[in-house]
Amino acid sequence: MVTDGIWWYVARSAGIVAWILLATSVLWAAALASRLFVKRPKAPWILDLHGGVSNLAVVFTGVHLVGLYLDDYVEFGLKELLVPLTSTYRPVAVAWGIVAVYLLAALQATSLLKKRMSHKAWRKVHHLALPTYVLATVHLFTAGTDASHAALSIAAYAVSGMILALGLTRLWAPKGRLPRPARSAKASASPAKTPATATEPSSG
Amino acid sequence: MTERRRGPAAPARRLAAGLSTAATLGLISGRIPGHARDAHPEHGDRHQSGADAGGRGPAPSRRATGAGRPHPGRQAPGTSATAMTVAADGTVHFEDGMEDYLW
Repeated sequence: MVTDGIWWYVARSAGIVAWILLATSVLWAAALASRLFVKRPKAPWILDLHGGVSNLAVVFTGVHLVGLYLDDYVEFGLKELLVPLTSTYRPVAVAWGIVAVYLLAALQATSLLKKRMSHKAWRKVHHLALPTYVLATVHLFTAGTDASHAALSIAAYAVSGMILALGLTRLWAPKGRLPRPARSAKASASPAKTPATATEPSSG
Repeated sequence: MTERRRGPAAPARRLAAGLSTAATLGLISGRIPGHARDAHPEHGDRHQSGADAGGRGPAPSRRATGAGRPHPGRQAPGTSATAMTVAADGTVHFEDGMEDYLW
């Protein structure tokens, strides 16, 4: 077990794990939006896991920042951690990470306050998830000392490719909310509905 | 009621939390290949007053420490042993063109 410079290891490890969690969360949300999974896994399950993974990404990002703050090998104070371009070490690369943290904080705050704000406003803020992922990825590969790891590069290309593919799938998906199998079953059972209307995806 | 509060994906969320923690601890313990202290950023370029501030201070650059420099007896790959000579005072002499190859 490494004891010398433990906080440096904590910062790097938590940073990598936070990026993996963020990527998973965005990928999960893209899968949900693409409507590839209508029956299984079900939307509430995907949403619940998406929320849980997002929370974990916030927690591990916090651990990443605490590790950087406590590490005395690379000196990061509060100013360097919170104000972009104040770090002497790769200022631009670090700035991408700081902006990503702010976006992540906005995403998390609006999700916690979702019930107290309009769905439209929440949705607009939530669209920042993709730029957050892009900034975090740029930060990982420009500021991170583990960028040369082949596994990370492969993961970044794979996740980005899947998000792009799912985003394109979303463009061809029907507009509106996800179809609800229970409702369509009821609708088809109802004598008032014609077969044509029963098969239409619900929009609302 | 409790199940509703936990959410339908509670087991999967717990699994994600466990995997994340295990991955972090695994990385910290250095079990991941290539995860070494050597991967630290170029701290030699910063912390000019690190030693004065009580820290570990700046790590000397590779050139200052001689890291990567040819040592006596070291032979550049694909060259003859006489392509490079190291004098007693540490001065390195190369055959024509070899300096570019090595540095």
